[in-house]
Amino acid sequence: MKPRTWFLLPARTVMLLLFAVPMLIVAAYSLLTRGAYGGQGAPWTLANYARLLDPLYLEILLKSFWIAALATALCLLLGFPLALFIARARTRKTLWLALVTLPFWTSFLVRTYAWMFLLRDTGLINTILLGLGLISEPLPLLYNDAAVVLGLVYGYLPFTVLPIYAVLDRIGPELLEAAEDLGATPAQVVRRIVLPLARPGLLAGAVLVFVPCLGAYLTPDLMGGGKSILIGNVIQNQFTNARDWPFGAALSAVLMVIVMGLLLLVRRKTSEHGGLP
Amino acid sequence: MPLLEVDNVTRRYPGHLAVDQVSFSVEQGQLFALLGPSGCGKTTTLRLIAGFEQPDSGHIRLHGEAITHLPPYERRVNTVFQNYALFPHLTARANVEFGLRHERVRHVGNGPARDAAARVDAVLDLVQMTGKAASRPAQLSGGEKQRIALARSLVLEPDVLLLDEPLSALDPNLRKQVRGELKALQRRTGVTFLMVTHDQEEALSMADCIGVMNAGRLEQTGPPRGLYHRPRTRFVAGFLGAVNWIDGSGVRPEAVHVERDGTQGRDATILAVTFLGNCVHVEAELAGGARMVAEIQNPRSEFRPGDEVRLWWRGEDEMRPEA
Repeated sequence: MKPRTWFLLPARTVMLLLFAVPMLIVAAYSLLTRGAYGGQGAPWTLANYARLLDPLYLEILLKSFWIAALATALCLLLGFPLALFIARARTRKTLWLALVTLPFWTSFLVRTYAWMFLLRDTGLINTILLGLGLISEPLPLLYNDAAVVLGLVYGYLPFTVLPIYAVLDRIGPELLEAAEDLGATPAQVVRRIVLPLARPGLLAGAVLVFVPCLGAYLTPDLMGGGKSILIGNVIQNQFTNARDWPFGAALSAVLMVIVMGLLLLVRRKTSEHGGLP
Repeated sequence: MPLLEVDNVTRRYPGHLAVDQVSFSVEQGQLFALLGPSGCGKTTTLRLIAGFEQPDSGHIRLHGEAITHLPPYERRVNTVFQNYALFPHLTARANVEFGLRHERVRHVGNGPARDAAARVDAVLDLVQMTGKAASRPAQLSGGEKQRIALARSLVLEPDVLLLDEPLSALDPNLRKQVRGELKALQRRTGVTFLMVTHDQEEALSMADCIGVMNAGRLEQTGPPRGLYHRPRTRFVAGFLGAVNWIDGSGVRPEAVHVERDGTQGRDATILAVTFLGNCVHVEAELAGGARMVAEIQNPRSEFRPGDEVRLWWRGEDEMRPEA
């Protein structure tokens, strides 16, 4: 082996043991039959996959896609201007970037509970609004789809800001000046120069948000209050309460295949345009 | 009325004056060169005219109308950037087309609207880049990028084309050739060029009028010959070419004559002789201890270090700068 190949050895080992092998185990489980009292065993079957065609699960899968897509769109919408602001800042870039990553310093769980404290019927927002007499009933801020989207957007926003910032920071200021010099207003500069050049970062940010949102179970569980069920919750439920590991494995496998297909599509889209110059 | 007037413009940066009360004007059809060492404020002056920066005081007028505080996209001037600043995601042709889409924003006074595609074709032909129209900037050489950058600006028929060090990013052996091409392009299109350069040979050979800048101030403005032979300051004299300073006046090396048996001039001893191919530099020490360099074309006799000679020059070749 060449010395360079040796550098890959630790990563390869970890990926093999902690990713490839578990994935194969999941794939194998998904083809087994659930035992009467939990557990799983022979015979081999495709029944778990057939169950996925039940409209109930298809609906949840579609909804999960919709929620993840909405959260991703909102993250891009909020993340792009923020990344542009930081990339164009003359000073304090490091400070702004540190602030963006600041939430990672505390556990996601703690931050989610903090949101619940703010949003619940007796929470800070409702208490203040009631106290001011602006509302007579608490607003239903928590335990619905909007709350789930809010939690997802809040949790994954940094993952869009950072890759978009990385591409924007590499766009030389003279390109923007050249565009203005050629008659483009600031808004046209963003549309015709900044956005096209930021594409690889936008795509990377979208993937980094969409994929974990699609499989999210903590946020819908806590902020959706069990009323807003996503595919992640269904999978989690199969491995815990329902004790139906083969079906959970089948759900996981399908989700995995869908995500990989999307990633391949994005990759082809990016390489079509050669990424960044 | 001059086409472009820069009137007493000052631009302050924290800690120093980048541009200090600079005034000059550019006539229609001229090739004007702002010449000076790096950090003298010439590029900042260009950026003020383009609208990328705002002066702290003073006025900039185009056709007599103040454009001092207009945004860049509302000025009928265009810039060729030092590194060309071509848009990497667009083809060469799309780069050239870029500004045409925004033309309605500007105050167009060029008669009836003409077909945009035909204009792009014409300008690509003008810079001889028709064959490379489909290439992306990354596939173009330095010289080709420059042509596209020129075409991108010229297609908009600017009142003034601003060029920031247009030759500095090119191969040294390409520069002399492109000098001539740029000058020819300027003549052919009749567009007024305002060029920034630190290379005095470039300015002397290309410009109709040169403004020499030093430490934020414009020291002198004038045609190349006038500036070279009658510099107003020692800085201008020295920046445009080599000078021997002697008793407060300056003499260019090529104006100094060296004679072995002359009767006129001053006694001197040759210290060094440097052969430069097309000429010879003779460094000599005068009786008083001052040193001079003479540049001799086709020397009749071979000079050697240690030779006793006489140096003389014409009175009219003496320069007497005021400062």
